[in-house]
Amino acid sequence: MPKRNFSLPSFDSKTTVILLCVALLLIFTALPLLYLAASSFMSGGSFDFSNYKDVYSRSVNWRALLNTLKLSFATMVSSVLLTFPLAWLIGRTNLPGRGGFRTWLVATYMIPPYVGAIAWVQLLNPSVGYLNMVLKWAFGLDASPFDIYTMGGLTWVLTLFYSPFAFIAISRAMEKMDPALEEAARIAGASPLRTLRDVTMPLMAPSILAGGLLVFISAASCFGIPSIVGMPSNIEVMTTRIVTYVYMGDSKGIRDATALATILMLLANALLLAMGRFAGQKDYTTIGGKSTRPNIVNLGAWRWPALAAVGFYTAVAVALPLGSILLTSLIGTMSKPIGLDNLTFENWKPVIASDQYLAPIFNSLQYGVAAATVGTLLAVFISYLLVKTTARGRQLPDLLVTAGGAAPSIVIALALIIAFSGKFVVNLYSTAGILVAAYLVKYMTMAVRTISASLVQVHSSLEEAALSSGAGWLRACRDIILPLIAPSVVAGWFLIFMPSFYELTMSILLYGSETKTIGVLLYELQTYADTQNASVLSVIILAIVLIGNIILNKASKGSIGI
Amino acid sequence: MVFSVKRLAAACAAAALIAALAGCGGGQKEAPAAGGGASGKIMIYTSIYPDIIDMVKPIIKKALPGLEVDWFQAGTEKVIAKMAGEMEAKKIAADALMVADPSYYYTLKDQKMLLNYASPAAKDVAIEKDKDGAWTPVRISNMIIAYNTSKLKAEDAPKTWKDLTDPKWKGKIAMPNPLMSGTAFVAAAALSEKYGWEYFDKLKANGLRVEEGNSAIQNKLLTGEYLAVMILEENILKMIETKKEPVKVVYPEDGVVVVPSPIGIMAASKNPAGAKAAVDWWLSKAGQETVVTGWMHSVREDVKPPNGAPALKTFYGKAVKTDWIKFSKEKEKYKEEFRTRVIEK
Repeated sequence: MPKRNFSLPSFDSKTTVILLCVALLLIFTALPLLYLAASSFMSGGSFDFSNYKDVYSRSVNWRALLNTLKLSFATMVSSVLLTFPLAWLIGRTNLPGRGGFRTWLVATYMIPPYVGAIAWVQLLNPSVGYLNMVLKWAFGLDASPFDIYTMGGLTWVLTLFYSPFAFIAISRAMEKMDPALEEAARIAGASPLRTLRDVTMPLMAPSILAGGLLVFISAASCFGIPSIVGMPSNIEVMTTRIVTYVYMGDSKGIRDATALATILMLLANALLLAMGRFAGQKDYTTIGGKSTRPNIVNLGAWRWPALAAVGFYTAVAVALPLGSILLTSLIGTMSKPIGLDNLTFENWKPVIASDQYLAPIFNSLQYGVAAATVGTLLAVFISYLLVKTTARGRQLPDLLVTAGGAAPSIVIALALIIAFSGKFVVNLYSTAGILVAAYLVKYMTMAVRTISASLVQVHSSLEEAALSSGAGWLRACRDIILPLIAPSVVAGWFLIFMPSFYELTMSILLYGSETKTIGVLLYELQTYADTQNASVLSVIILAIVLIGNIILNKASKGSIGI
Repeated sequence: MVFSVKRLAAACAAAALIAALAGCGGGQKEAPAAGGGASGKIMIYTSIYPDIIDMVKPIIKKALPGLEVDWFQAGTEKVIAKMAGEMEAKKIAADALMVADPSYYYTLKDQKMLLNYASPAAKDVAIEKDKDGAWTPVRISNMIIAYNTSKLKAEDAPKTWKDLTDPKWKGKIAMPNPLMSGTAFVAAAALSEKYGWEYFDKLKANGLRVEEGNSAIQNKLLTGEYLAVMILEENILKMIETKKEPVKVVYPEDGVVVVPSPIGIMAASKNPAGAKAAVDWWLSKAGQETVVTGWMHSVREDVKPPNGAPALKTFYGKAVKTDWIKFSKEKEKYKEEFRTRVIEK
């Protein structure tokens, strides 16, 4: 037995696997993005800062940057404030109907953001918004109580769509927490609320940070919602500015766009480093060797007010926009008020009858599964490298992944076109590979954030125990680490799969004649048909995802699924 | 999971088989047209709506049986962005290009990226074309004013672009974003030349909303969020004919913004013969008839106007002037001017 301690097979497999991951990242994320970032310093074949001077001498770009910061920060704060109590109530108390609420709260994440944004504009536009009209009628108001075309409106929609990140990250961590600490506090006489404040919340800090950061980065790099809600209100953000530059249609436009995008990526990484430093000061390890299930707090008489609050939020945040989309898909004509005589399945016919819809759905399923599976695997090793080793440069892969997540989709798409059209040996252009690569670059950060946050909580003693009992490193990963972080791995998988499944901005530039995706189809319906056909497809997407989720959940007896 | 994927694959295969059988049934009845000698493969990048492409596919296959035509479809600005990326990579995958911003073709021609080709069919094209044959107009889209007839009587509707500055439309007017949409760019540039940027200042003061594209405008016109909008004629004609929606086109008395969208062959094309055959077909009477079914106007005089629209010549004469060379050279300036005056608060 002692001999095994001196031979280092485990070290080898560990190094190999991690190096392989890093190599993949370098090729698919670093190369294209760095090449593009480097080209932002080129003008007329020589190195200079003229693009930056040009771009940053314009006040509009500074204002856009400021707007992006304001919006993303507001979205992050409101998401955490909203989802922490929700995650706690649903994960750790005897709130009635907890399981159902979980599924519904994550459901907003399954609605493509641009579809959801359209739904909210329909609900809350100041002239004829459904909800505004209902409120005006119910309370006898003269003017519409809400105006979606404001910074507040934009923050509201962004919060609804990106708070599921915070919710997933926070609630996963909450359920994997060592209950002994909380029990100790309770035994020492602390009230449940005090325990929550003094024990649970500090323990949750890394996950709250991770979730919040994800929300921040996603909101900052989102284009669909600001373009639909922000544009009519003349609110410009970084992504809309970047797209404006790209749409100039020449190489200068691309360089100017990159000069803006580079700053956005740097910003996200700076934020990540700052938070990492903050979180790194404390030891948060909570999954020890003898973990049991966290205890459930009895809300007592507070059950019913809590239920009402959670129910109300779910109704407003989820049921309302979902209902609006479903209704839009069934309305005969958008120009008449909603009524029984104006409901029809007409809009469904062209969508269901056409076999052109099946292939994109199948394509998107394939690419989404491929991206999610590869991405989660990579994310596990990157997180391990980051959290559990002391290797020099261990933050590098994480930084690359974050830079990808913060890069606006259109910039990633262009970077991939330029890098993989054969310029650097590999030619992936118009193949499924380039789409999967794009999804990985853009969405892997979600899995890395979630998984590394939960890996922080796993004490190294468990892995060491496995290694010293003679298990190889891969075996220790499979038998010890993976099962302990399984919920966050599953969450990470979904976090990549979902947005990849309906991705629009990158797919539209990268798809080929054989690789049309559901996002492209949705875009087509939106532009050449109308919102109603697009709503039909959204309902179908939602149904696929919800049913898939239910099947997974049932098949795995509740351990897999969102 | 594996099981369900397999099932889906089987369903897909079945669907593809059915489609293939149906396709064969239609195709075998007629012999391939003569003169379709072109062969190989070509790729066309276009902003033509996908339903038109689906309609064109079998027709073009019959006309040019030896030629395999692939399509990439997206909005004009997205196609141009993709082209820009490919130019950076020095690998252009398109053989032919048909997007809705004529000024872009001047830019491409300046960079010697277009192949000069005088199509024999071009003699029937009744409007201005490039003298070297670098591009030829293939379809005509028009920026017009539209209004919702259930909310507005015909006599109250705006008659001219100038009418949109009337305070009675305050906060109820909209146009697509010239920074994001090719046809909107043309409209903004042309109207700013005609009336000066002060025109847009007045629209702005009158609460003009700027939306990403034509479809957003169309939907909000239907719901009544906007009463009168600047939009593409084809969107409105289609709404009227296919969905019987209560909307109507106004051809402004001070001039429609006519956007003749060209087709051009890329100089880098590996199959110029194939691309030329495709251009010939698009300019032929058969090709132009499919254009008209998509509610756009034909560039030929022997093809009738789209359903519900007057003939092009009834408004072409007093169309708003468009200086394509200037639009091409000063694209960024126009966009920036519009942005500072209208979008920026």
